[in-house]
Amino acid sequence: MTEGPSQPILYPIVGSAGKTGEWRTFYPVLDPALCIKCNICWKYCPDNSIYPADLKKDQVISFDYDYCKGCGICAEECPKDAIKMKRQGE
Amino acid sequence: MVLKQEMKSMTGNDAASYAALFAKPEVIAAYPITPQTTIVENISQYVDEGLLDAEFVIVESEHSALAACMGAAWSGVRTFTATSSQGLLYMAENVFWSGYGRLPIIMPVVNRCLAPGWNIWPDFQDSMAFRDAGWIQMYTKNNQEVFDTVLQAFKISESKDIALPSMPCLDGFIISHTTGQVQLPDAEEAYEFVGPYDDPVIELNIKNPWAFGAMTGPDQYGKNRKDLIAAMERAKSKIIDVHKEFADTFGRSYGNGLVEPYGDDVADLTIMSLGTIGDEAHEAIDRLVAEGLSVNALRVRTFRPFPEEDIVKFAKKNHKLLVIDRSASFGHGGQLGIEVEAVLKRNNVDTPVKKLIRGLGGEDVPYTKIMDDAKEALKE
Repeated sequence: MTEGPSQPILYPIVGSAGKTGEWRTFYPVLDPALCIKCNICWKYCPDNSIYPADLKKDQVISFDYDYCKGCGICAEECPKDAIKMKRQGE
Repeated sequence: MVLKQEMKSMTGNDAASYAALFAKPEVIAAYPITPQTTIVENISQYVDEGLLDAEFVIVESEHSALAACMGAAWSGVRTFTATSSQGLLYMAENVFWSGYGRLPIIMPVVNRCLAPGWNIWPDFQDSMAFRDAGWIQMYTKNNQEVFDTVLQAFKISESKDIALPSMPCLDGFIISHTTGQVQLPDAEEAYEFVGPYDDPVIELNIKNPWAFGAMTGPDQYGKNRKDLIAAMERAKSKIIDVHKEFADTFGRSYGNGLVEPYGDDVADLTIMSLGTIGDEAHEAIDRLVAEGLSVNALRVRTFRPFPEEDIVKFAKKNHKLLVIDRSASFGHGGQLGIEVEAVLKRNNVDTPVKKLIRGLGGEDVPYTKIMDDAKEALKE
């Protein structure tokens, strides 16, 4: 079979573009007492940087700060206001 | 054995849409623009009437038309669209994306000049603006050649070792809206010639997903472009092979597929041109020869890849070239003329070249005008 052309194709791997969390200005902080483990933040996160809540283990969500770029979508979507955005260094 | 065909009367645009119908593209996305419109109108009707089992995507612009075709091509299906002039310019970004992205999209360009002055008549300024976009460009001389070239384009472009989009070019109105005779093969036999697109250049794979066009450093970028340069070089022999196979199957040929000579092998003057001027030149040559003058012609059918070897070979044995362009690279003559000069120089051929620009914005170029130009060139 003939090989195809030389193309700029990427296959998905974690962190193919480096630790993009370094770009962040704001970072999300969870108040675990308010989290109802609905995982809405996990569904909305555009960077796949939220570890979902585990209902069986009674474990709340958490963040992958290596890749979270601090967009704040999780904080915006959280129905319980359990996520607050803070400026880096604060 | 040459297959039996039926003689039909149709416009050049009809011929283009018949070729597309027979090749059975699965996705067509298009936006109307004069003088291309009737190609995709025909195809829209084929889909509506159930003659063609394809997705016809109605889009809001030419930019989106080509973008939709690109998406379809990435998923691994045969794609088709068509455009002209301002529409082609509006596609610009995606024309380069699909050329450099190696997507075998077939897009006839019905040549029309560019504004301003608003004008719907033919010249090659539109497609010439994209000679460096990584597309195969073939300029046709009549309705029959439009059908034959569009059909051949699918087979050439979709070969995995080529993987380049094709832009068959036809002079607006002179070909697109003028009725002429076209030998039409049986639809299934035409499809058999093209064959199914079953070993796609690239293909969507949901089990092993990929992203296209990501950040690419200079090393890999350079490799990709060198691969494109090599593919264009390979396309020359592919065009010759497919053209030969077509000639064996359907009994029609245009020189060797890259260039088409006319008249004597050797003459005092050789007229070189693209598209319908090349056809009109035949009439001029017959009359000039009848007057006792020595004139022949070499029509450049394939402009990208540029048939350097064939042009040099022909120019070497002839005495003077008259290159007539229907477009201009402002500040540096017509595109065919300057490229012919370049390949002659590179190959140490000292046959003199006279360059002329004729027929811009639909200015008529009848055989009488070509005869006058030829006589003038012979005198110099």
